Amino acid sequence: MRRRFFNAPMIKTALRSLFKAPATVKFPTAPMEYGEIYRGIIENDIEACIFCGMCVKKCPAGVIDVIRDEKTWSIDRSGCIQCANCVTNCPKKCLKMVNVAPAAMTEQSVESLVNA
Amino acid sequence: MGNRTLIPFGPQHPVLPEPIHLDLVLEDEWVVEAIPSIGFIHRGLEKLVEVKDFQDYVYVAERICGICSFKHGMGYSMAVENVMGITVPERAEFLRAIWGELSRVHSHLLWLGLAADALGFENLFMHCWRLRETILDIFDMTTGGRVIFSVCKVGGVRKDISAEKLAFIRETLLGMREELNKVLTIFIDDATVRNRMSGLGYVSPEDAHNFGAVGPMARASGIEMDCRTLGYNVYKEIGFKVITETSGDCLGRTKVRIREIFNSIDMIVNAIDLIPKDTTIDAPVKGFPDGEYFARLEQPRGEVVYYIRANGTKFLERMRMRTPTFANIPILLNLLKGVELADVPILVLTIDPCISCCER
Ligand code: SF4
Ligand code: SF4
Repeated sequence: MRRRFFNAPMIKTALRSLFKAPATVKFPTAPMEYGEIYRGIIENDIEACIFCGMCVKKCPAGVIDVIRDEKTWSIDRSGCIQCANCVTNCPKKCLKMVNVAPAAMTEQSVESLVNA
Repeated sequence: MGNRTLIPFGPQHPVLPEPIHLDLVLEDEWVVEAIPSIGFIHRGLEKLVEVKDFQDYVYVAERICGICSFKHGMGYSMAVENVMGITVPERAEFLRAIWGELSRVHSHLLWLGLAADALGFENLFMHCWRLRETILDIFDMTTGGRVIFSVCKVGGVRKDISAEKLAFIRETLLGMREELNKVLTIFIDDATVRNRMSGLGYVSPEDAHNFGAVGPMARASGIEMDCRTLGYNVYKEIGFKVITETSGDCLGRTKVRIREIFNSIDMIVNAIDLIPKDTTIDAPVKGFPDGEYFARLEQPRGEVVYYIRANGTKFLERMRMRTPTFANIPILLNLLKGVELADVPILVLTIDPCISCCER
């Protein structure tokens, strides 16, 4: 078998990359850009929410909790799998997904919204 | 007989992307036997089907694996649709084909990168993953997620792709072809890669058949086995070809994956050209499933089987799946007999192991 140790395609590719802008983003210094429909964190317009509990039923991860009497809607963001099933099934369309990734957290906490 | 040694390989190992554990029985440098143990990341996702609404379970099914996530969601949906007699609208089928084949391109590019990395070819690894990033950006743009899409649902899909986005995908993929050609020919032409992979881990067609190999593992040995020929989805219309090689070695399996990338790109472009204008993307789901079904489909790693049994309530009674990695473990164990210790990493990698699918 004739062996070719001089590898033209790889050298060409490597040389070309040398003069190109990097393919990666300098993350902490350059801002992170999210796509328009990026499935990020769930927000609830608590004024419009009727506390029907549909989102609780439909959440496959079981991270939403609604207490109707106290008009409280809460979510454990660390368990949310960003499937948007709650958004699709909310009858009042008060839930929405914002195109920002959930922030890193140091401890598990439940975020509660109350319609006072 | 030389000295016998037992070497534990995995579940944590620099070359392994996923936790499989093998006890390698060595005689000097040669492996005489490999004893696998799996179960490190079992999460009990199949059991979960008994307590989740059958429609919501799609999102759990998708998360069985991060690489073939779309095909998992689709396999589960197909099984439920067949039990309930739902006909998926044509546009949804095309969209499923587009996302499914894009997943294949991204999965194969990921594997090629990992293979290059296992060979110590860091430069090539970076280029493969750079190209893969383009596909991930397309996912981000069309589904809102980079690896988990949450677009498949029972009865169709949840999101449509607009005509402008489809045109953009078409352009991007056609532009990518040339770039892919440049990078991927290195796998075939380069002496380093060829000397390392050619002739290594030979699987004869008989062995592939007897041990039940699936996917590129079987196709590289010349077995024409691909579930996309079964007639699900729109594969008949978009120019699907079964890709086989005859060499049966690591290089053959690499070539099968490379050629599949190009075939998938052709299929996506054809699907974009042929996609119906009718904007219905989901069929209504009425009532609860009752009955059982076996769905078979082709994931990037090979054939996956979904079995569901429903009893007329909103919870399924049973859901079981057989993933391609599980089917390829027997042939891997056979392959490892008689190889040198240094070849084990690349041989384990060659089946494209996805242990998180395998263990659910
Ligand atoms: S489904 Fe919508 S309206 Fe009902 S409780 Fe949840 S957020 Fe409120
Ligand atoms: S996005 Fe999914 S997991 Fe998250 S709260 Fe909504 S339904 Fe639950």
